[in-house]
Amino acid sequence: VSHLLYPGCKIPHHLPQYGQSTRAVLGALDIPAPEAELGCCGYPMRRLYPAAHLASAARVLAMAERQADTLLCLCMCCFGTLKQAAERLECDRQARRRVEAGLAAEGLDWRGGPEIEHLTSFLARRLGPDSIREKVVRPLAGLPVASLYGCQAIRPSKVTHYDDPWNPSLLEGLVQAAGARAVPWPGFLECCGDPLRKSNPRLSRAIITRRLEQAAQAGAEVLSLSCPHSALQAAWAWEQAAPAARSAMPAVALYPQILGLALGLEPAELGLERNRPAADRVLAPFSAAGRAAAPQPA
Amino acid sequence: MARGLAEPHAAARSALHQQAAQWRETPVLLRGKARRPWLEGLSGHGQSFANCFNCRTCTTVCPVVRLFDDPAAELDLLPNQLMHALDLGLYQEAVGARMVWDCLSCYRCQDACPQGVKVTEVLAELRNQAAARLRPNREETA
Repeated sequence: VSHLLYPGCKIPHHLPQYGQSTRAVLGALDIPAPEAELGCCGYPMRRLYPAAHLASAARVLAMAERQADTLLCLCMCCFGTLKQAAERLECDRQARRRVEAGLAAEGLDWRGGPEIEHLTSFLARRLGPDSIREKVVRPLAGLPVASLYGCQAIRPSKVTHYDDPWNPSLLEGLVQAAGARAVPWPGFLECCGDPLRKSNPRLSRAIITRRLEQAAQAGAEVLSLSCPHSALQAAWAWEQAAPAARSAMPAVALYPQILGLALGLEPAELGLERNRPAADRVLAPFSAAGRAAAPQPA
Repeated sequence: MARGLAEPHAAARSALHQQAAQWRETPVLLRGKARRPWLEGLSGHGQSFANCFNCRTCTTVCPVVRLFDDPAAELDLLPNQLMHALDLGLYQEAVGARMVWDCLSCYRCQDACPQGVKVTEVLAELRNQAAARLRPNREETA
């Protein structure tokens, strides 16, 4: 079984620590996943030019299928968009004919596409929390972590098949596999506000600020994210917030950064210093250097 | 952070919204054949509003609605009211509602609907239809 890592458009430039920590974690878990330059998944066009979205997504899937069995998405919106496009191409013969004509111009064809997985669904289902736990060398014991499910990954549930849309447990299982404590919180299924960031920034910021407040109020020290959009939203909310509000925000980390620490990787290998709201203060004590500096129990 | 590329898109969207709000000021009830041009622009998903039985579940689960103390004043029509307006043939009134333009496309409404109404897709198609009407030279959407 071969895997192809698909970081999408946002991660290489805006959120390099997500790609960096994912590569480090997959390396530590001995999962070879080469990266490919596949272009845009079509998510940004989905609501504006559905035809362009479908063509982009089909192109990504057709190219990926030639290189691997499974496409590993890091972005929840890439994942959801590609799943929706694959479903549409499966059901809508007319749309498929149009897309096939476009693909043929590039010497590609539509054969149904590869398996589409998100990094988290891959870790939770293909690998399983138990095999992750076996490789954990420094469990993040007792660290309260809240996880945010991505809208586009979990819904529409009949298309994405990510997890139970009303009572999911996939991300909590992964947090526990890293030895941390999964914190139940009211915002776990809600939107991060990114789709309205340009057209209604006031609303968009209110939504992400509310998510950060909810996570902090539930007692989480870290908000674990698995989508570049929500991570960029959190960084934006942090930039805009007053100092007092900033200090009340929980630390934000991408899930592979959390898992990476538990697997014995160092904060610098996971790009932890780039996170906003900063995560070093909360997470660095779990690294080897942080433990060496901490006073040893008598 | 440089996000300048999206700015023309945001400007276009805001212009579209203003035009659509003008439609809303003069509600027109479309009946019979007059409904056809609107309905023809909607896919099977877009036309699923007809299955709505107004249980309001979509409105209950909507994170945008929940942001406001008086959501009807901020959003003009709530999701269930939008489905009802479409069913009545009040297309222009519906498309001008701020709810259509402030939708996050988070799919909570669509996933929760007991009647299988593709609420999120209906709102997206309304936006696309408004865009196509306001910019008739734009390439046809699928």
